[in-house]
Amino acid sequence: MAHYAMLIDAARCTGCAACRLACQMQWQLPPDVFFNRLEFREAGKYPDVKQEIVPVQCMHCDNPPCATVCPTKATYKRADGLVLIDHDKCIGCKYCVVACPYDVRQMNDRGIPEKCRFCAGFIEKGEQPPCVSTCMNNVRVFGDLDDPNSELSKKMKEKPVYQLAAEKGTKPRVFYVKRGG
Amino acid sequence: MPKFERWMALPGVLVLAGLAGAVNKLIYGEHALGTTAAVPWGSLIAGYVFFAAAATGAGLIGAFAHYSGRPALASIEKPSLFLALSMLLAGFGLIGIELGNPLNMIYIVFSPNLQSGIWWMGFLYSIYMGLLMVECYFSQVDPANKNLKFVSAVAVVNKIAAVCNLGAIFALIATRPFWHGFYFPLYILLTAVLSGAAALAAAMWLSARRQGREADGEVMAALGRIMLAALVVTALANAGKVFLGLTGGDPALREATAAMVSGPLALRFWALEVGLGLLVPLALLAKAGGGQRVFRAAVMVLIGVFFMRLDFVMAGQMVPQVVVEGVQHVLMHGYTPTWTEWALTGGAVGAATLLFAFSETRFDLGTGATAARGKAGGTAAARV
Amino acid sequence: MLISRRTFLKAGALAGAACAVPAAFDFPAFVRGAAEQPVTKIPSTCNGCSTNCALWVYVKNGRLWKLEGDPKSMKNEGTLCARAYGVAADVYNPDRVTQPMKRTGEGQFSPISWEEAFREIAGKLTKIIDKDTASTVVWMAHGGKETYAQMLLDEIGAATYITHYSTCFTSKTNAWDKMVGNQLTADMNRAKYMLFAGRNYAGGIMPGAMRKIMRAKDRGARIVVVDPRLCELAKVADEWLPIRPGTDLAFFLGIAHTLISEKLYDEKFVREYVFGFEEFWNANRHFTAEKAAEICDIPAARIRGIARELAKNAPAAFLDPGYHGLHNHYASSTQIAQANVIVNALLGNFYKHGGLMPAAAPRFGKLALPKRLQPEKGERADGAGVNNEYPTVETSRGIAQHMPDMIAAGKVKALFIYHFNPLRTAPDPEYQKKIVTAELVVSIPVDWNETSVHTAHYILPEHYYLERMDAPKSTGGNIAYDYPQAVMRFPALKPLHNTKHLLDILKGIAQAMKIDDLYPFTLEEDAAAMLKPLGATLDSMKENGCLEVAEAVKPEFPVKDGRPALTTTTGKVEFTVGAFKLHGRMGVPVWTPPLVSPKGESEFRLIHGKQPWHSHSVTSNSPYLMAVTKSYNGSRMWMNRSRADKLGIRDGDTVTVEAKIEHRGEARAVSKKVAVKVTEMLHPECVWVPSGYGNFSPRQKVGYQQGVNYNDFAPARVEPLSGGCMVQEVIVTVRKGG
Ligand SMILES: Nc1nc2c(c(=O)[nH]1)N[C@H]1C(S)=C(S)[C@@H](COP(=O)(O)OP(=O)(O)OC[C@H]3O[C@@H](n4cnc5c(=O)[nH]c(N)nc54)[C@H](O)[C@@H]3O)O[C@H]1N2
Ligand SMILES: Nc1nc2c(c(=O)[nH]1)N[C@H]1C(S)=C(S)[C@@H](COP(=O)(O)OP(=O)(O)OC[C@H]3O[C@@H](n4cnc5c(=O)[nH]c(N)nc54)[C@H](O)[C@@H]3O)O[C@H]1N2
Ligand code: SF4
Ligand code: SF4
Ligand code: SF4
Ligand code: SF4
Ligand code: SF4
Ligand SMILES: [Mo]
Repeated sequence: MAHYAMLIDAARCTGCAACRLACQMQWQLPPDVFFNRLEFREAGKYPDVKQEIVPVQCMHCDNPPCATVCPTKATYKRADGLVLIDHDKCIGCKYCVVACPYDVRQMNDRGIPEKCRFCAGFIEKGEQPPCVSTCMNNVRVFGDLDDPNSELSKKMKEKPVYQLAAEKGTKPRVFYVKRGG
Repeated sequence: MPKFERWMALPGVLVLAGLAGAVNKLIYGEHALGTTAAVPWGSLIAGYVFFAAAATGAGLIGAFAHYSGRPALASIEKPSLFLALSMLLAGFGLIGIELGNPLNMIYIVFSPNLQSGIWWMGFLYSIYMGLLMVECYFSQVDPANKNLKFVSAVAVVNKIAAVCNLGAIFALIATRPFWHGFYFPLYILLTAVLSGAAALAAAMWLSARRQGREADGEVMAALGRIMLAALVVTALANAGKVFLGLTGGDPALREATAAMVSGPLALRFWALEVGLGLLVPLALLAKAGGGQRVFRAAVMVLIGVFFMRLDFVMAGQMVPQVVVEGVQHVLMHGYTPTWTEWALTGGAVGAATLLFAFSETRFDLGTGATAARGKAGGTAAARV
Repeated sequence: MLISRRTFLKAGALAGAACAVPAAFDFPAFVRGAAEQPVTKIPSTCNGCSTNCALWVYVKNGRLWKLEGDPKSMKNEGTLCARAYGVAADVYNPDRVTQPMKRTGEGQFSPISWEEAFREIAGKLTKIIDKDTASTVVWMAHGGKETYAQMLLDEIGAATYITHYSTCFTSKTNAWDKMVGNQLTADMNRAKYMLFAGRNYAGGIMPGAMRKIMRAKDRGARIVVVDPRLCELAKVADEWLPIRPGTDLAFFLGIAHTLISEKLYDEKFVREYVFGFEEFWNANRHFTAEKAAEICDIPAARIRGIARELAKNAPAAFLDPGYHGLHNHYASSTQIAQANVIVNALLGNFYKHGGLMPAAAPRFGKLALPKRLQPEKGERADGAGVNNEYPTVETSRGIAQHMPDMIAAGKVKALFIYHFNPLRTAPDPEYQKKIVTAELVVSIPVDWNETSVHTAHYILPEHYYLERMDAPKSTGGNIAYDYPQAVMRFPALKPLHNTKHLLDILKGIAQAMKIDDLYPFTLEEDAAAMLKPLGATLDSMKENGCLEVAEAVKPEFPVKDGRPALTTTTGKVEFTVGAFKLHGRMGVPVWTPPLVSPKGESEFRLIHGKQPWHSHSVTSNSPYLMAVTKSYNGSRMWMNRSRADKLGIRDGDTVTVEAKIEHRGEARAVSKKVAVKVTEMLHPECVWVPSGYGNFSPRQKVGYQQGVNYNDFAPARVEPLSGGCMVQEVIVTVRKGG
C-alpha cells in the first residue's frame, strides 16, 4: 500500500500564489475557496531582515481530529494516507472546521467543507498535483513514502524535516524542510 | 387552530422575521452568516446550545419536582415537559437551518462515528425528544401509567448525559484550549438548570398573566430559590474559570480569557453576562418579594445565559491558532452576527413561546389555560 | 454538473445573468462527470503578460476547465504563474465588452453593429486622410510590431506606430541597440554568479527564469539582489543589498571603477571588442567605489567585493540586463542601461555561456504577397527619431505617454488603441483622459478598461485569447536559451460574445475604406507560411505544442572577415554613443543625480514594482486574482518601520499620499488614501506601491478603486534620450489619516 505525503521547502517559495490558483482551477473552486495558502513572516530589523513564506494546506494527518469529530464519517482517512470528504455524507455541521488545528478547511457554497484533496488521481497516473507542477521554484515534492525510490523518499533523507504544530499530536503527512537544513 | 390573541403579535413577528432569515440562509448559505473559515461557529450554534440546554434544564427541574414530591412544585411538572419540548424544537429548528446539509443526517444512522461528540448529541437529544413526547403523551392520556416511572427514570439519566455531552462537544476539541477540559460539561449542566428554571419561571408567570391572574406565589418562590442557588454556584464557577484562565499555562487559554474579560467580548461579558445575567438577578432574588420579581430576574437570566453561550462559543474560536510559529495575521478573529442570524434567533424565541402557548390551549397542562379556553385538551392530546 | 441550491435559487432571482465564476463543483459528481465527459487539450500561449508562456488548455463540455504549462517551453518549463489561471478564468468575466460599442456621452455607450462601426470609422478615417494627412492617423498598441496593423498604416501612408514600450523599458532597449546592436540575455542555466539590480524575476515573473535561477542556486551559484525593497527574488537570494532608490547608476559606475582600477576586467575582450573604453574611463576615473557608496548607501567594501566576485566568476557571471525596474524610472535611466552594458562588457561575458547570450529565434517564413503601391510617409507624430524633438528615441517603439499633447498640437486626429490601456498604465490619468478630444478614437480591448470607457469613440472588442488563433511567435528573448522555439495559439473555446479577431477587424475597416485585397489571406494561411521553413504545420503545432528547432545558438562573438561584426557602426560594443551627445550631454554614462529627492520626515520617493499575481492594469478586475489580494492585504503601500514610527503610522493604518503634478506649466495637486504595510523590508527613503491597482473604470466592478497606482502621482514626462516616463522622479508627502 502506498503512503502518500508531501515535502515543502518553504525557503524556496516566493509567494506567487500559482499553487493556489492551479488548484482552484483543477477543482473548479470559486475565488474565495482555496486549498493552499501562504503564511508570511518578517524577521529582523532593516537592513538585516529576512522574509519567510510558508505554504500551508491540509496535512492529511495520520491522526486527523477532523475525522475523529465527524459524526457521519463524511471525513475519513484512506488506507493510502489521504484524508478525504464524502460530500454525500456530510451534514455541514462544521465540527471538522472547528477541530482542524491548521485552519485549512473552508465551507463551499453548498454548505460542505472543502480542503486539499492530495490529488489522488494524479499520483495514481504517475503525475504530480497541479500545486506541485505549476510551481516555478519547485517548492513541493509529492510522492509515496513507502516507495524508497520515490523522489519524495530520497528528498526526505537529504535534509532534516519537521512538521507544523507537531505537538498537537496530529501526525501530519506534510513535511517541511528545516531552515538552514 | 388555536385562537389568535393580541400578545401573540410579538412572537408572531419574531417568527416571521425568523422565516425571512431562514429563506435568506437557504438562498445564500454560509454567505448569509457572519461566520468565516476562522470562526465557523456563530450565534446559531450558541442559540442551539442555549435552547437545548435550557430544555434539558427545564426537564431536569420537572423531574426534580416529580421525585422530590414537593406539593409547591407539583404544578410545574406538566408545563416543564411541554416547555422543554417547545424549546427543544426551537433549538432543533435553529441547528437544522445552521447545518449545511440537514438531509444528510440519515448518515448519522447509516454511517455512525461513535467517536464524534456531535454524533452522541444527535443520538442523546433524539432520545430526549422521543422521551419528552412519550412523557407528554402519558401526561395527557394516562398520568398514572406504571411504565411512566421507568420512562421518567431513563429520562433523567438521558438528560444529564445529553447536556454533559453537549458540553463535551466543545470540551473534546484539544486544539481549542478555552473549551478543552472537564470544566465545561459540568458548567453547562449547572447553567442548564439555571436557564431551565428561568424559562419555567417566565413561562409560569406569563401563562398566569395571560389568564388575567397572579402566578402561584409558592411556585414562583420555589423557582426563584432554584435560580438563586444556581446563580450563586454559577458566579463562583465563573470566577474560578476567569482566575484559572488568566493564570493558566496555555497562552491561547489566557488570550481567550482576556478577550472575554478585557478584550473584544468584555462589554458583553460584564454588562450582559455578569451584570444583567448574574448580579442583578442575584440581588433581585436575594430579597424577598412577589412573583413579578422572580419573573424579572428570570428574563434577565435568560438574556444573560444567551450571551453566556455566545461568548463561550466565540472565546473558543477568536484566538488564532498557531500554525506557523511566529505568524499571526490578526490579534483576534472577529465575528459579528448578521441580521439573518439575529432574525433566526429571535424567530426561535418566538417559536418556542408560541409552541408553549399553543400546547397550553390544546392540552391540559394544569395551568388553567385549557379550562379557560374550552375543552379541547383531552381529545387533542390523543393525536400527539 | 450539479447546480448548488444557492446557485439554483439565485438563478431564479436573476434569470439569465452571466456567472462570473464557475459554480463550485460537487466532487463525486465531478469525478463521475470527468470519467464521462471527453476532455480536449489545445495548445496556446498565455496572455497574462508579455512573457508568452506556452500552455495547454483543457476544455470540457465546451467550457474552460484548466491549464497546464508546456514543459518544452523555455519561458515556463511546464510551470505557470497565478496570473495565467486568473486571466484564463476571466474569459467568463462579466465585465468583458461583449459587442461593438459607440460612445453616446461621458462613459456612455450604445451597441452598434460591426458593419455600421466599420462604415462610420472608415468614413471618418477617409475624411481625416483627405483633409489633413495620413500622418495624423496613429496606431498605439501593446506589443511589438503587429504586422497586420502595420500593413494598414503602410497602405495609407501613416508613419506613427507607437508601442507601449515607452511605459515599460525603452531606455534599456535603446542603450543596448545603440551600444551593442542586440539585446543580449542572461544565461542563468550556466552562470556561477548572478547580480540583479532592479530586476525581480520572482515578482515581475518569468517562470522559466526562476526555474533556471533556482537550478543554478542548487548547483551552488551565488545570487545577489540590489533593490530598495526585499523583493521576492531577494527572498531566495544569497544576499540582499538595499540601495537608495535612484542611485543605481552610482553603484554600477562604482563596480566599473573597481573592475578597471583593480585590473579585474577582461582586457583582451575590451581590446578586441570595445570601442570608447578610454572615453568612459577618462570621464569616470575619479568615481571610485567610495564615492559611489556615499551616494547609493551600499558600503564601498561591498561594492568592491561584488566587483571582485563578479570578476572571479567571469565570464560565467553577469549583471542582469534588466527589464522595467530602473528602465522607465529615472532621468538617468538611459545612462543606467549604458552602465549595465559596460559592467557586463568589462566582465567579457558577451556571447559566453554563463554570461550573456543572444536570444535564439526561429527563422519564420513569410507569405508571398503581391507588392502594393504605397504612399510616402510623413514625419512621426510622436517625435521619436525626429530632429529637434526626440531624435534618439527608437522609432520601432515610439512615445506613448504624451498623446494628448500630440492631439492638442493637431498632430494626431485619428487614434487606434489596440490591447493597450494608457489611461491606467501611462502617467497622469487626468491628463491622459484628454485623448478623447481626438477626432476619432477607436479602442480594441477585451474588457471595459479605463482607456475605452473614458476616451474611445468606438470600442471594437477582440476575441479573447482562448477564443482565437494567433500567428506563431518565438519564445526567445529576455533570458537565454540555446535553441530557437516557436509557440502558437489555437482557439480552445468558441467565442462567447459578438467579438472578432484583429485581422477581421482590420479587414472590415479596410474594406469599408474601399481598399481592396489588403489582406488577401486567412490567418491559417499566414501561420502555415510562417511555419513552413521550420518543417512544421498547423496540425503538427496543434498536436505537439511548443516547437523546438535543433540548431543551437553558439557562444561566439559575431566576427566577419576577422573583425568584430556587431550591427553597431564600429562592429564593437560602443561604450560611448555619439547620438547621445546632445545638449552638452556626454556619450558615456557619468553620475547624474535624480531630478528630485525627498527631504524631511514626511517626504518619500514613490517607487513601485510588480506583484507576483498581478499584471499591469489588466488583472485587477480578475475575481480570482483580487481574492489573492484580499487574502494577503496585497494593495497596501509599503513603508519602512522607522519612518512610520516617526509619523505615528501603524501597520494597516490609512494614510493620505499627496503629490504635485506639473505639466506644461500647469500644476495640480493629487491626493489619495491608501492603507499602509509597515515593514523592515524597505529602504527608509521611499514608499513602495504594488503596481497593479487603482483601477477607475466603473464598469470593472471587482477592481474598481482598490488601492492606488503610481501613475496617479507622476506627470506625463518624456525622458529625452529614450522616451521613458521617469515615473520614479516623484516625491510624495505622506500623512496619517484620511
Ligand atoms: N499602473 C501600471 N502601469 C504600468 C505598469 C504597471 O505595472 N502598472 N507596467 C508598465 C509596463 S512594464 C508595461 S509593459 C505597460 C503595459 O501596459 P498595457 O499594455 O496598457 O497593460 P495591460 O494592463 O497589460 O493591458 C492593457 C489592455 O489590453 C487589453 N487586452 C488584454 N488582452 C487583450 C487581447 O487579447 N486583445 C486585445 N485587443 N486587448 C487585450 C485589456 O483591455 C487591457 O486593459 O504598462 C506600464 N505601466
Ligand atoms: N507579476 C508580474 N510579472 C510580470 C509582469 C507583470 O505585470 N506582473 N509584467 C512583465 C513585464 S511587461 C515586465 S516589463 C517585467 C518587469 O519586471 P521587473 O523589471 O523585474 O519588474 P518591476 O517590479 O517593475 O521592477 C523590479 C524591482 O525594481 C525595484 N526597484 C524600484 N526602484 C528601484 C531602484 O531605484 N533601484 C533598484 N535597484 N531597484 C528598484 C522594485 O522594488 C522591484 O522589486 O515583468 C514581466 N512579468
Ligand atoms: S507556486 Fe511555489 S513559489 Fe508560488 S506560492 Fe506556491 S509554493 Fe510558493
Ligand atoms: S490538516 Fe486539518 S483537515 Fe487536514 S487532516 Fe489534519 S485535521 Fe484534518
Ligand atoms: S461538516 Fe461534514 S465533514 Fe465536517 S464534521 Fe460535519 S459532517 Fe463531517
Ligand atoms: S494536492 Fe491537489 S488538492 Fe491539494 S493543494 Fe495541491 S492541487 Fe490542491
Ligand atoms: S509569466 Fe505568468 S502571466 Fe506571464 S505569460 Fe507566463 S504564465 Fe502567463
Ligand atoms: Mo513591461
